[in-house]
Amino acid sequence: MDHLAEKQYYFVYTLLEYVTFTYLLFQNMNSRTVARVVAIISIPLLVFQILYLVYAQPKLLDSVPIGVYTLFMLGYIFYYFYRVLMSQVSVPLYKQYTFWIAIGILTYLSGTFFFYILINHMPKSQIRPYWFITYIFDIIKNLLFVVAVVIFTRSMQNGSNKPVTNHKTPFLDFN
Amino acid sequence: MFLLQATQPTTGIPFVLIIGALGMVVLTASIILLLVLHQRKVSRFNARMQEMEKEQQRMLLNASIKLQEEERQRLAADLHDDAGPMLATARLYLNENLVNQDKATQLQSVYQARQIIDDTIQLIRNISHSLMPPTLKNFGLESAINDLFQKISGSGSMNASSRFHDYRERLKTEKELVVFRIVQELVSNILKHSSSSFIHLTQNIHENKFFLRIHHDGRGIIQSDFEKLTKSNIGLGLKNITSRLRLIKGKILFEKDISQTYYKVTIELPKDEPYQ
Repeated sequence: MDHLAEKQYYFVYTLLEYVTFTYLLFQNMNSRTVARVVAIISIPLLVFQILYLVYAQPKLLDSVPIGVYTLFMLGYIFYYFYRVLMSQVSVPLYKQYTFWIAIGILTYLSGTFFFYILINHMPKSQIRPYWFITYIFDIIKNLLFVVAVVIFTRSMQNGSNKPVTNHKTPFLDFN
Repeated sequence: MFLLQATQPTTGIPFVLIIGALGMVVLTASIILLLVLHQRKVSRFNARMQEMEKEQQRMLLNASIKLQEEERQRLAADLHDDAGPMLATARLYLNENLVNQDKATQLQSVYQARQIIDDTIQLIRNISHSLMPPTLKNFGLESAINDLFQKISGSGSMNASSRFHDYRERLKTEKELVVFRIVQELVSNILKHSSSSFIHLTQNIHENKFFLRIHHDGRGIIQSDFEKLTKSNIGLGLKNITSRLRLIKGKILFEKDISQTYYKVTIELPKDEPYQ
């Protein structure tokens, strides 16, 4: 693969990863506002990535867009956790498939963050022994996604793919 | 980014890489652990709250059943101890020997029997009124409360007054009865326990809510005492007030006046549609 084709390949790969993870994370949130905000945030990110593709000359990987996307994804995941903490959900976290997706993405992104950031600053001879880091986190992520799929399938079989929320707190006369 | 790009590759990078990755993993694990622990804590708290709520419901139900039983016992006692003997006495006056007696004795016996029957009628009327005050049924809450307060004042033991500021639209009959029972219970408590010299009731409407406030200058309770009593095994009357209020989606607030001289009890109800 020549250098330009390689750059384009990484461009598409990074973008696809961001879009897929964002979709997986927010598809169960049922909030139009959140979807709009994420879409609005994503536009400048995409513009930035295109500019990087056109003007920057990375040695190996598009580290900077990866880093920026990772930081935003981490922000989304923390927002998801915040929503989980604030919600009155009676189902334990580990029984919600979105939780496994979120920790899968979180583990993968946080584990590979430093590798992708530093990869362009390492000699090629040093990079090869450290690729295993991405493999490990990729495998962990995939395993966690498998757990999410199993939970999702089970909940579909039980006819309850949406988390069961508590009934509204009964009216208390005396506070 | 440019700073990173400008930095020359060094041998320390793999070390930074390993430490960074490990640090991020530890951070991630900590976040997940915190989340799980927090959710467990919240779940336990919710379960405890639900348990407490159930316990209180159970106590209120018990109080309600107990009160109903007491009311039945009182009715049974009134009928058995008062109406029964009175009618038996009347029957004695009207026995078979009456025809063998002289005219004056006969008249005397009939007169006595009639007197006793009149008393019995009055007694049964009183029992019936205690079940459903006729003033309340016929003329509404305002008249029933005014009547109750006039009776208290008339007894001379306490100065009682009531004033309805805005009661052009009556509450529904069943709601009026519940409010009247609550007022009766509160007044009865004040009479029994407060040793106050006056009791004053005011009614008003504010922001589409119906308010009743009772003032008195004796010994009283504040909200925390009320809550404690409703959750304890005593305070049957107060529990009954709570369950009645739940029925009509009302609230009650026990407090002390700013001047610390009077106790106030405020009942708040959502105002319903005008009485048809």
